[in-house]
Amino acid sequence: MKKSLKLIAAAASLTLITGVAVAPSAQAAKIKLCLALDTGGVDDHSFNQGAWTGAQESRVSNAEYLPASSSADFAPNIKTFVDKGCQLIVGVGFAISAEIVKSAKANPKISYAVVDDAGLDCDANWNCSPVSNVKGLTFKTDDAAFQAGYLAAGMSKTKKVATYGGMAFPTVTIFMDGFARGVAYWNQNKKKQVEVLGWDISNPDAGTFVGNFSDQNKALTISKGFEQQGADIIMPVAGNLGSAYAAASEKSKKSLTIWVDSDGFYNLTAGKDIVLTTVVKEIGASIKSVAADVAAKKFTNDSYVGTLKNKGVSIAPYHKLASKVRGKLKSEVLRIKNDIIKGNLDISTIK
Amino acid sequence: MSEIRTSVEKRRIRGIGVLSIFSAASFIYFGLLNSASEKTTFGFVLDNEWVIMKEWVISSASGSRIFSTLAILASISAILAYRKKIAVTIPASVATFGIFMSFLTWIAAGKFIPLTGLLQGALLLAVPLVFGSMSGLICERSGVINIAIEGQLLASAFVSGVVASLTHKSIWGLIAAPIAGAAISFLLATFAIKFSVDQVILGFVINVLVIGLTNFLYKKLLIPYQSTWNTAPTFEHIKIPILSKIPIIGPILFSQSIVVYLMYVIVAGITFALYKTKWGLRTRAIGEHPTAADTVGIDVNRMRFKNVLIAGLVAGVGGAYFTVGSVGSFGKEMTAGAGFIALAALIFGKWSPIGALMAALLFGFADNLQSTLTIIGVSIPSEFMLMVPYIATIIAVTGLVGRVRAPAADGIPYLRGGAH
Repeated sequence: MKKSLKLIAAAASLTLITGVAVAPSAQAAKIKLCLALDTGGVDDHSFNQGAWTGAQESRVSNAEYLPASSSADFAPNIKTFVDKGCQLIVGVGFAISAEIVKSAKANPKISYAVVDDAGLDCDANWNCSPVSNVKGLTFKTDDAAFQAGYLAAGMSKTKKVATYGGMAFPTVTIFMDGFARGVAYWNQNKKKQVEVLGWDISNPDAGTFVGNFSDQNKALTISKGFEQQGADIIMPVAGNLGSAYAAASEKSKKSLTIWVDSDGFYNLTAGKDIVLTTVVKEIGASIKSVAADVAAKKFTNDSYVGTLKNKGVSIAPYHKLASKVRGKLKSEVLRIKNDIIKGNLDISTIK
Repeated sequence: MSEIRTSVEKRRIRGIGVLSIFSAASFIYFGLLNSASEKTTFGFVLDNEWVIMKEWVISSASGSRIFSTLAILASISAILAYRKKIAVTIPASVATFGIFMSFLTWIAAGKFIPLTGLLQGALLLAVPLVFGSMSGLICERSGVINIAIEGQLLASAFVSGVVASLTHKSIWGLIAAPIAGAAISFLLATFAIKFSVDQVILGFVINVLVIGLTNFLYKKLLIPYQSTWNTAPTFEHIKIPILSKIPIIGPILFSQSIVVYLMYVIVAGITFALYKTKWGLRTRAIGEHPTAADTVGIDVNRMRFKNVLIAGLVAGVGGAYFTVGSVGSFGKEMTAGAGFIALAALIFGKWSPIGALMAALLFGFADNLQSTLTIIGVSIPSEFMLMVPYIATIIAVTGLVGRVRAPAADGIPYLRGGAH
């Protein structure tokens, strides 16, 4: 993880100098990997950044990216990449999926991939069919979040845990849903009543959201609201918005946090001491995998699914709080992972 | 004159009528049709204030009945008061309170509502709105439209965050922020007053400029060098002795950071200055009738320029609240539209300091109520809940305010002996 942090820093400074960064080429056989980013920028502490970091780590490709300031930039950015002769064009984020599919159908010789979406071609009636040169990169994030939820339920002294999102996107709510199911599994196994605030499995339309990914003051107020209800473990699924809460909670000692996307212990400047764990989603790994396929001429349109098994999703180490987690709970969380991998545990059945 | 009074009377009758209907409806819907036998718990204790009552537990149905009965009684007395030509403000407020509490008791059946926490959160969400609307107020009362409040807040949030990070002292952040706010004001004043640029367009352009500039610097400096450039210490909360111990009011009003106390001082100061000083009289004059002000020897444009700069200083303190007052680091576009809601608060408050303060508090309350309700888990879709504060804004501005009148010369550049 430390290495990836350095790479992020290197990437950021390189980006500053060149505008569009190009990784140094060492071998002639490298493919041209091009990332069309979603709005939010390459430094969003979230999926854009994760994708770009992974693309740079790929040893079989020369990577470049184009940022988007609005959804109007998606189509021209993809067109630019087509004209540049990219062999693999990755749309980062489900929002860009439709434009990727459109371009893919017009350019059947280029390989495409979409992060966080299946990359299907859908008509007006939502009849969808796969496209031969588009690969979806999706994640079973809820499996890892399920582990985190179970852990949170086991750690909570107040018997109340909480989660909230930035906006109600499927990529956000999947974390919240898995988390709540993990708590439910603890309740089922231990005959306990740990309550989840901010998300209700049986009513996925409701739930607590900031409404955007920029209003840190509001996110902080929401976190305090959870603490006033007695929640002592909170999982914000809101990109960088949770950082103010983590810093405040490190001082007040009222609650622990579960971070998402990439290990909060390394990403937070203040508040890392109260990060219980992180629900990690390795977007970078998925990009490396599809780049390797294209380089080896083994590209197919079968979806890549990040799972606990292929380490596309995972929960991070407990770091400083490792001594606070009981050994029995640690092994139970580990057993859940193995059960899910073996197929003995289907989290969608837990309610 | 009689025509205006009629419209005011009409509005008052309509208002009392709506309150009465709502009171009756809340009695029937929240009280009588409430089959839930669950209890609603209200919490009053937040910190270590004196405790009169820690919690108040009441059956959801009977609690709703009690509050809506209160609302009905208050509505009746409002009608009686109106007939006898007595002010209806107090009974109308009681009725509104009753309807609201009846709703809250109903919706929170089986749940816990931390009442003090709800109000404290509302105040904290309102702080930047208050500063923003005060900035708008000073500009517009002097006849310059200020759409650039968002830009002022964002720029000063950025500068205070960076300065506090570099000096490791939050006080330097608080000192630097008003300067940044005034710098944005300088841009506004120069183009609006010196070059008579259309002020609405100008304000928007300034906002876009500040967003672009802060995003660029955020990416260039704050992300790669986060530990030196973007770790601002925040102000500790100062507990005012005795006052902070008062139940409910204490933790809300008197256990806050210095930025919130500055807000009380600034709102009181502006109210006094605007209505009781020479500066205030002149400010109102150049906003209402600049030609007349000019003929008695006031340099209109010079005064406008100065006032726009003062407005920037005020907005700057509000910007500092985001970083050194609350969050502790700068985030991309972290003001998230507060400047525009502040503008709505200014109009809702009819361009008066107390009115704008009340409006800002109302918006902060609607915002926090929305998140509190989702936190306790009401089964209303989240997208709808997120609209609530904005719906409240629209209803407030269009429905409740009635006719508002902007300062007569608002937005009109003053050209001596010219077209205006």
